[in-house]
Amino acid sequence: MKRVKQALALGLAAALLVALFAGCSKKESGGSTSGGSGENSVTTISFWHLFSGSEAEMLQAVVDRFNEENPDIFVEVLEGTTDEKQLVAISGGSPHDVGQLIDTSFSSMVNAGMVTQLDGYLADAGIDPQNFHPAALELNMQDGKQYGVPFTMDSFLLFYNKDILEELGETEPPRTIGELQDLAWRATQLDDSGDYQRIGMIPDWPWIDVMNLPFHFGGDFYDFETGTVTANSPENVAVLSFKASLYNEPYDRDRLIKFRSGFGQYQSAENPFFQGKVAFTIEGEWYPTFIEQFAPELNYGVASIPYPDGQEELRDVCRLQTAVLYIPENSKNKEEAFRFLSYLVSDEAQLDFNLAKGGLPVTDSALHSDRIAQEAPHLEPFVELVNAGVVKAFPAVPFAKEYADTLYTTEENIYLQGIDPQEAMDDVVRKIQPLADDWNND
Amino acid sequence: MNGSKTAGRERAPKKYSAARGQKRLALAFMLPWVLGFLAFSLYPILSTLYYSFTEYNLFQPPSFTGWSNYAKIFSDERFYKSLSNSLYFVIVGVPLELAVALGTAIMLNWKVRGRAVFRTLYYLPSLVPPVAGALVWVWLLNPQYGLVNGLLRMLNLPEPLWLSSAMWSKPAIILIVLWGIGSTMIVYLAGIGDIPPEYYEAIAIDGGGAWSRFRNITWPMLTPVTLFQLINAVIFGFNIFTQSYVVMLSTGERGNAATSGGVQNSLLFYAVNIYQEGFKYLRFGYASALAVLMLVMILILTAVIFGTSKKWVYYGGE
Repeated sequence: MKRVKQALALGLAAALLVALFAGCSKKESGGSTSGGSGENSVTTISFWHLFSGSEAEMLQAVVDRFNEENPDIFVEVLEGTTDEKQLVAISGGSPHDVGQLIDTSFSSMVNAGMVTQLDGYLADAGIDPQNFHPAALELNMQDGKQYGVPFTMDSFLLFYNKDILEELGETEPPRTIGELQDLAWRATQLDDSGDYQRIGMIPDWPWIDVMNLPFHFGGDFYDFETGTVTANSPENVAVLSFKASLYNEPYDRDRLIKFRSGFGQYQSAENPFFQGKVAFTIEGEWYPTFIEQFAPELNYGVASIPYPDGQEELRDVCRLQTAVLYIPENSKNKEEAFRFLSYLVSDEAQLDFNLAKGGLPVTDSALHSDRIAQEAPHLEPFVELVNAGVVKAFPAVPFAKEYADTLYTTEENIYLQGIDPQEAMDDVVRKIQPLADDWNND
Repeated sequence: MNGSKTAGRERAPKKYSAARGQKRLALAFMLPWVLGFLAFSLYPILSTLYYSFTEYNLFQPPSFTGWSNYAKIFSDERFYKSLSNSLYFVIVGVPLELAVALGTAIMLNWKVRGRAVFRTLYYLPSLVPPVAGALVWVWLLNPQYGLVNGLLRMLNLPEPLWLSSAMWSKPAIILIVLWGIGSTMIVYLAGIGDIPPEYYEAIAIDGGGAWSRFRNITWPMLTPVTLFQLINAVIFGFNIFTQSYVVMLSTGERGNAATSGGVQNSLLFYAVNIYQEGFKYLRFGYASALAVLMLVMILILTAVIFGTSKKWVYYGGE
């Protein structure tokens, strides 16, 4: 009897163990071929991107067409991922097959060897790299090798509320930083209790964008020739002095923070610019699409980003940011992944997606397509800027992310603690230069 | 166990093998846990220790760098910032947690009508997933439209900027954690239930009031439970991550350089910093060194708490 009990107990324990490990067994991800019958087997590949909401739906439509046209491949989409999620998937050994990221998060992944080099694939497929916007392409290169291709690009302009401007008796948007400063203050309104009702411009809304002005002040972030981090250049310090001026006297910092904390969601009708609570904002080419969607009545205008007084030559500076497509180094379906990737940068897919969402296509041929004027005329000033402007971008260095994060915290400290911009930026250099040195000495 | 060994030797071999069978059986029952512990606890801890001596980006093979990760820690501003944030949380938050949980438990032990309902209500928040709870609190604490400030406004009290201010963000997180205090409270409630009613009868005869009942009976009888809760809360305090991470996700947008440390890194807790070093900056070796250091610090703190426990923990009857 005892024996039986023992045997039973052991059996149960074993069953438990089996159950435990069955639960942990690695699921077969990607690479699985279904259909089985051989002749019409389908390879499923996964595509992870950052878009969400309506933009994700528009991208899905483009993916659906690929799936229709390519019966041997099925692309499974995961929307709204983050770069951390993509990173973990790759390093955990169950990667997606095609990924999309913002360029600043990309270079550290390249540096860690996580990304497939694409030069050979591009050549085999007969895709001419020259057809990509050169600055955008360069952001996805390292040591002269191509690791990703741009998927969409962003350029930026000043958006202003025409009604508010009119109310102030102005007809023209501000051309210089001085004019912007003046108009922003005049556009600001308080209610009876002294709380803000409307603000001209708020430097850390919708987020702190450490890259939106330095190029327009003639500054830069990194000197590739000397390997120097240039965060503390006079131009960059001037940017921060200007931004801080929108938080300092005569503004009331605490009340401003309170006002800002009540702002609604960026991608919604509660966006304070759409509601006329903010008069000026620097935004990218996607913004008109949002306005059309959430605030079709808004009377707004688009103008060049103001330049520092007396430096008109800086008017046509274009800050560029790209979304990059890449194939993880350990993807099991690289051939299929590349076929999908090259579809995404074909003129047809580029125009379909970008004109729907309000984005800039990345290829020269698409950028010069007539479809832009016909289907999305609001994109034209942005296209003009990337085609003709002096294009600048945050450097694609492996420490880009940490550099940007440090700039972000620094800017926050300048607004909230009133730290001196020069001192703060010297401190940034002190922190980031060692990372640059490490990289250069490798 | 000691006794059975010698006993087995003296008696018949059959009895001896039965004892061995019992042992085997015990082992078989322990096996799933032991395997789980080896695979999911010990192995990760040991590999963390190993990686802490390497430079490792999670993808390429690690390269051994000796003590350099540890040397770097002490000149790293983010380390000090995150350590002080976590210490703030532990020093301010943990005593508050225990006090609130104990106070609530005592009140829920009062014999009032609908006691079961109150107990359920107070326990309920701890069943809400931390992410969902934090998301709700982000809105409750919104300085402009949040309910909390709405209430303060009605009472003409100052309205803090909560998660939008470096000064108030940690108190805000402590508030969120206090809301989910249910499981700590339940343990106290059970502890109170275990106190023999004779003690209270005795003090009632001696004419002791409510404070004297608490001071002389409830508190001493609950000190063993408090010791357990204190250690748990300190460990949990050093591991706090979710709330800070959720706050970041609800404020950062569009793949921008939103930092996960809250305003001016005021919510960059130790565990958040480890996560960022690893998954954001791809420095897994360094992140591992930080984790090992945290383990050591928690071990020391736990040892210290145990050391002092002789002075204040009362085990009834000893």
